[in-house]
Amino acid sequence: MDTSILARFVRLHDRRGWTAFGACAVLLLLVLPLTLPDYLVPLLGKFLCFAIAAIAIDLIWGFTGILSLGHGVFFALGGYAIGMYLMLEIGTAGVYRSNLPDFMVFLDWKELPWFWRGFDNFGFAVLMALLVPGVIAFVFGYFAFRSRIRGVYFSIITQALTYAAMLLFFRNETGFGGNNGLTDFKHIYGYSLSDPATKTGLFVISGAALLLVYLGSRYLVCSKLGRVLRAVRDDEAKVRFMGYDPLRYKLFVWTLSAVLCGLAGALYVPQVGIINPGEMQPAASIEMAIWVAVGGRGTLFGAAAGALVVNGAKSVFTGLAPELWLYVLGATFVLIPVLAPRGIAAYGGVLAQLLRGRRAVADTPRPPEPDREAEESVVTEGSAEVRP
Amino acid sequence: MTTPRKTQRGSARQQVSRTVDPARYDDVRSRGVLLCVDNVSVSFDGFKALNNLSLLLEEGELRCLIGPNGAGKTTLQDVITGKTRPDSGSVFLVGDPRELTLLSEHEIARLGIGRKFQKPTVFAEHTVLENLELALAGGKGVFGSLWRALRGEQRERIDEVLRIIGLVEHASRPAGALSHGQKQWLEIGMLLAQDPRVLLIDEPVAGMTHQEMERTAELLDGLAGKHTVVVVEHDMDFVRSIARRVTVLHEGSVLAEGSMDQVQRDPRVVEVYLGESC
Amino acid sequence: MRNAVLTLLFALVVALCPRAVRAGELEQALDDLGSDDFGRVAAAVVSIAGSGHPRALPVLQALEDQKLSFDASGALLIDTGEGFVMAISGEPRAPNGALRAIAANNRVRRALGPAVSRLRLSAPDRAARREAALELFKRPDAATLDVMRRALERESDSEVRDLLSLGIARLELHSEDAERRLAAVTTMRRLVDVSLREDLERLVAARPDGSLVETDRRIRKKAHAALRAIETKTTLINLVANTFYGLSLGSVLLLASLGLGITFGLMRVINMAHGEMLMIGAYTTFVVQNLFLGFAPGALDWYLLAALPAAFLVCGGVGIALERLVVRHLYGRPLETLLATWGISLMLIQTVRLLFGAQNVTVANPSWLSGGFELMPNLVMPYSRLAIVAFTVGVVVLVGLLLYRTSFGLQIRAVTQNRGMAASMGIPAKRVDALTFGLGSGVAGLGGVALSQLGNVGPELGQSYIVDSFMVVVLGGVGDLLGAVLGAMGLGLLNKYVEPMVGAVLGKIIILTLIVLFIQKRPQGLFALRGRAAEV
Repeated sequence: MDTSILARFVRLHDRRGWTAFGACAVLLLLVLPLTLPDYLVPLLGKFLCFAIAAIAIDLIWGFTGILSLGHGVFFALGGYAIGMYLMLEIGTAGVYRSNLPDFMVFLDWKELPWFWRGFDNFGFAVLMALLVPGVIAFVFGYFAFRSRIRGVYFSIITQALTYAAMLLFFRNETGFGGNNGLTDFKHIYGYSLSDPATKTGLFVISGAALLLVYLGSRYLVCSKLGRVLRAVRDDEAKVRFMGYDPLRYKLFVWTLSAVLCGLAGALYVPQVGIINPGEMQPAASIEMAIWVAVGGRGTLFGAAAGALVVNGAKSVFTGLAPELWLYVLGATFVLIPVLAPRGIAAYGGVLAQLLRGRRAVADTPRPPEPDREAEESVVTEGSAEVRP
Repeated sequence: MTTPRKTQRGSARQQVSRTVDPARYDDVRSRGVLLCVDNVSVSFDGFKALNNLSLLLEEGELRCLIGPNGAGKTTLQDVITGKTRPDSGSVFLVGDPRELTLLSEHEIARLGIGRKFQKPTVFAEHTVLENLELALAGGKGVFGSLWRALRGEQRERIDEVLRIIGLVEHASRPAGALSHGQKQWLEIGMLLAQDPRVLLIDEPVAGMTHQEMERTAELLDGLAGKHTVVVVEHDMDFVRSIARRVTVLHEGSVLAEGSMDQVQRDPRVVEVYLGESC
Repeated sequence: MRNAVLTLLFALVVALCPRAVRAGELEQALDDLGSDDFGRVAAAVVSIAGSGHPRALPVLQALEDQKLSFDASGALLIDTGEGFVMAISGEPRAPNGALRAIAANNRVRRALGPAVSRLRLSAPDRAARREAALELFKRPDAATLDVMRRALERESDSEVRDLLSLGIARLELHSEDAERRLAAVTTMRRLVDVSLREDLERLVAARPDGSLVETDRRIRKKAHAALRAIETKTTLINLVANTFYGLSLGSVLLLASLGLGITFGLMRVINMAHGEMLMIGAYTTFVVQNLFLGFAPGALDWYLLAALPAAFLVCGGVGIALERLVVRHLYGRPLETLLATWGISLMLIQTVRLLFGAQNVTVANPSWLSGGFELMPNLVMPYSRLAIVAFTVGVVVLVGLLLYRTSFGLQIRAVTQNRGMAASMGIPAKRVDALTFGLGSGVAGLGGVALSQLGNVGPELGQSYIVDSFMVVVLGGVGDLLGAVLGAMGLGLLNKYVEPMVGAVLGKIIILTLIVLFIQKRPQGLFALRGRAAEV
């Protein structure tokens, strides 16, 4: 058996899977950029960023069983890092014709704060967009996982994290534009952001990033690491008694997930042209979780599809009947876990089987109980043993 | 439910040195002792679960632990595997300087102490093969598991274990689809793959058919010799069928130790068991 | 009525008092007020003030407030805001022809200030004298120094005396005479008043050129002592105030999180729609208030009493429906329950928005809850907050009785500790679940009534409490009333103690960080079962 990495990579999908992947790649990198009307390019580009974030969340929720209600903070931090670069790229073309970003002139600041230094360099900003979410996730995760905070407790704490970050970024003194955030960007790497060609370029980059993130994540979950993660999800205590340190595994995938979310945020900001603390609202992070729930946890492509479907529906509804959108979203939150706990991906599988002419598989295995901790410890480690 | 793990780390815990003085096990080494539980006490809110308990386990022996409910059987396993921190006392492997009561569960597991819970805990969504792969000794770091694939000899070891536990045809089935007995064997197989020096097994035959029970007894018998096996069991017939040496626990201490016949004749043991049944 | 009494009094004074002989002079002085010569006006003011006439104070105050006018017939009238009265008698009188307001220049005002003060300081009513003294102390006027000294000599009430002494001291701090300044500082040291901090700081400060404002060492020493005393007192006042506000915030948090903790302990389910129960409780209060406005305006003051059971029932009903329709179907899947209840909260918010509009609605405090209790100077405790603390104590006691003294409570606790065992003993676990969910939501509804008395009532009311009330649950542990109380109060107090130091936002961030660190040490919250019992 060939066990080289390349061979294992090829085995990530069967022939049909690779064909589907290739079709998606052609669609994202060629067909859509050439055919989409200009006004749709940034909108769909935005969705692609959400899809990356959804894959990031699927890695920790779907595969590791950790529900984060605070991934918005990593998304926003990635966005802020690029936003800072874009702010400095404006140069003296701002309202106040100053070297400083407008909001700093408004606050009567005389020079760039130290933490803005270096962000005029594109490479540095990109690095920070990945590094800052990663480092914050690492530190936060280390403390949380070390004390074996799990289940809903962990979810609540992550919600508090994004809430605290939002409060912090709302302050003008924090130095990120307060309430209004960063906006009015003009150029990225010398290209005008209002030029349709730039927008298409960003779209293609987002599409490529999504494809790469998908493949990388797929490799990860197919490796032994992925199997350990699912084992941690299903029975953490057992994994520990088998000689694995769940802390390291959880910390790794949690940090990776934050970095991917940062990447998504970094691609998102130049396409929508604004980043503000609103992205850190607890509600925004919870919405991210529903993308994954709708698409189907533990499937990666389902998560990405869920992000596209939910956000597509959001765009349609907020256009047609804005007062109904919250009902639709709320109903999705309620009905998906009750009626379709495996998300639409499960139906995709059934559909594919039907198309292939086989009889529909009614006996698809039930989803594994996703939240094993239900009857066990909620805060800390639980053991699977039942005492007499 | 909350773990007592953290809470037992309180001030009540005496200062224990990180390493074990080799002089302490020199005398027992000659007797072939592998694991030494020395004067261990654990209390939960005033209730003494273990009371100055000491226990020596020899290399390759099959030991049965019996005792009425609340005797401390489970707590003893918790202490050995690092799930519970004792208030005082010491646990160590002879020849290894590390104090087990200060290590975490996975570190102890890597030292070669495996544990099987009463309820079969296999990973239901993973295949039988994957379950065994996860259990395999070595390569339990994050990045190794990301890049490395199964080596040939590892694959062979898994096949060997599959043969021992009789699940060769089931290798690619999800473990969740196995019968109760098959799950128990898979779990024992996982312990084999883990290749531990000491194996702690909690009530392995609870809920098994008679046939399955016999097969399990065979399996355990085969394990002893290569591994030190400790079986906690209520089923006296089963204990009699496998045990060479039996330790009776009562109220957190060792009440009696010896062959099954010896302990059954011990008047204190009789009293404890009769007293309980009254 | 009042005017009649005044007239009677006037008549009595006229009949008995020898000074009344000078009534003619008073009339002359009143006429002089209309003079163009401000010197004569000022003299008239002095003369009126000295007349001892009971109408002297109202007339001079009207002059000060520019409410005094002559009508065309030459009658001197006071504009009371509701109509005109005769200056001399206080009898109502319609003005005859065009009014000519009496103007007062600085010279007149200089005469007016001390005159009015003197009259007020010699009022027979203690409260009136106290108010006059307080005003003079707050806004010192060198012209009234003598007036205050004389008032102090004949004043018998100690509080008024203290205020007068402080007022005098405040003025004499600028005296040329070092002994007087020393006496002033000594008074300030004796009667520590925190509002004098700036006066004293100015006194001991150095001028920009480095020279000292006050060169007398005795005075400086005394002033520093007074400042230290003020510092101590300020700290004390802040401590008391922060404790009070912390307890009141803690009460709100407790009301918001009590039900959350109970349901979480029971079902291991986080109800993200719990905040919306607060919101619905507050809107129920609003509806009850409007019903009273429409049907029983006379009893409006007591609408809160009706709102309490209404909110409890409405929210309890919503809670039971929520459990029956959604939560029950997700048993054993806490993370999905969390998301589903979040969805419910979105729908509840949108429903309220459609029914009542997205804007905040007004819920008025009943009259018996407005105002406050002045514990010490500079420290007022609003009745509404006092009431909430008391109300919370009542709710906690009731919930405690329910949990620990009734068979329903016994069932809840049994299911909380061991669901399987309780079910096998014949306790209807599912019914207990639904009723407990109802109870938790009902208590949140009561919290909503309380919140409606403190701030704005809008569709997003509940959202702002989610994170905080979860933190209480995290801090207090689950299913433990005492833990919840201590967690909520601890969080409330910590909030209010930290806030003044670093500001509200940073304070919140610090507290969230502290909670995360706290969980490092005690992952189970403040109180947790330990050992075997905890592992079931």
